[in-house]
Amino acid sequence: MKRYKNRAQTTVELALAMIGVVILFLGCINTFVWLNRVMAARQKLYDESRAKAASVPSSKTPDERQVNESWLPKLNTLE
Amino acid sequence: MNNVFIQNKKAQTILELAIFGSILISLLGVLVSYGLRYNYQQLETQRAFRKALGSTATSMEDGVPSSVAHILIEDRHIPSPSDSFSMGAITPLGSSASVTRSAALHKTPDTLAELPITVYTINNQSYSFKSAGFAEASNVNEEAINHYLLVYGETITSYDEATDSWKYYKNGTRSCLELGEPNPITGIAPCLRYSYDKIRYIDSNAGELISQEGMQRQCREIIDSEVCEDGCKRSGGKDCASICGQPINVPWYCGTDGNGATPDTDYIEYDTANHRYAFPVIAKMFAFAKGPSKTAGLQSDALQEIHKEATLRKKEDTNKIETRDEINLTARTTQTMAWKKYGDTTTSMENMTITTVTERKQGRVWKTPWD
Repeated sequence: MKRYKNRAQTTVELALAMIGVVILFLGCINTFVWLNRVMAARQKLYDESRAKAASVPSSKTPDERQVNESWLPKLNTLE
Repeated sequence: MNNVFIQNKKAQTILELAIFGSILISLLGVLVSYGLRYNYQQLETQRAFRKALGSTATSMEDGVPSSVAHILIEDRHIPSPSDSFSMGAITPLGSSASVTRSAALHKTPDTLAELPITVYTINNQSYSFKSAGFAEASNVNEEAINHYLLVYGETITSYDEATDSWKYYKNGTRSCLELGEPNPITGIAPCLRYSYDKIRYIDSNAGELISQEGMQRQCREIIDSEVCEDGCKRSGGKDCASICGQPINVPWYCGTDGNGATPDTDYIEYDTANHRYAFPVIAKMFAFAKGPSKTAGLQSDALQEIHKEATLRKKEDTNKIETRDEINLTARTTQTMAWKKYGDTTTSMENMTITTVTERKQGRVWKTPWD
């Protein structure tokens, strides 16, 4: 009986651990995808507003010419 | 035997995953840290460039600096999985940018406010310094003007008495040094050589942000005609020997007797064959700087004090046990900013300590009921 009790223990452990590993992987992949999306979006945002930011004459101060980054993609690790 | 063998292998998978899992987590953590760092660096680069671009938009207007260089430094929090709550560390990230509008290249600053500046923005606190300054010379003949042009570039203006303003150097007040043969009809003799009463030029070493190397290089070009000739030929100049043979004003920082520098110490040529000089005035000015690169501005040596405080509070009552785990991270970075007071002709340098404090707090509360 003892032998039967221990059977498939590895499978059960692996199944439980794999859930954790998969969640971890998904979280990391989502983080990487987010980092790339943010970088691409930021590059586009700055490129598109460049000509306007350099327009002359303008009463805008250098700080007002900064890009509002609040709309950039937000990180949701487990989405 | 079999039973014992099976019993010994209990939880082997969990054990293996625990060992390899921790390595895996560390690896993924390193990659995430790298990604975040790269992301923040891109942000700093874009922001610095945008600031420079914004400044350039106003650089053609009167009364604003003709050129602005922006240096942006921000302390960023980069998490690390090897720390509790992935607390990580605070890393300073920086970027610099400068934009010159080609349409304004021919313009030279007329007033102090129009001189080029460098703006340091450290954690949203800005510090502005002039990166060049005005210098003047009197009674300069036309031949010597070419030497000034060689050393200081096309920044020369001359004073016009009639309008009380600085104009393109050929349009300023000048006196005739040598008259030609008089015109037989009008009787007026043309002037062959002029001397300008007062000229003004922009010296990149007369600003607030100066460097030892830049000052020494410029001094060598001014005091040693062979060094001047060499530079002139390399830049494709003509009549180099004649131009470099013309004496021009030696700046106070080069160190020559009676030029107003304090202390009034002469420079020394210690290697005649290679035209190597020692400039005691410049050396004394940069005595404060550590390391091989001696420049004013934000000094490279910085002190970062990291204080991590972990607190564990446990509270028990009749219903539950509550555990509160908190980590407070405080990073205090101390740097020194050094600059030369504008117009000062002594070896003293100004400096200030810039301290930035960045804090991060992470915590969690676990509540477990007794039953």
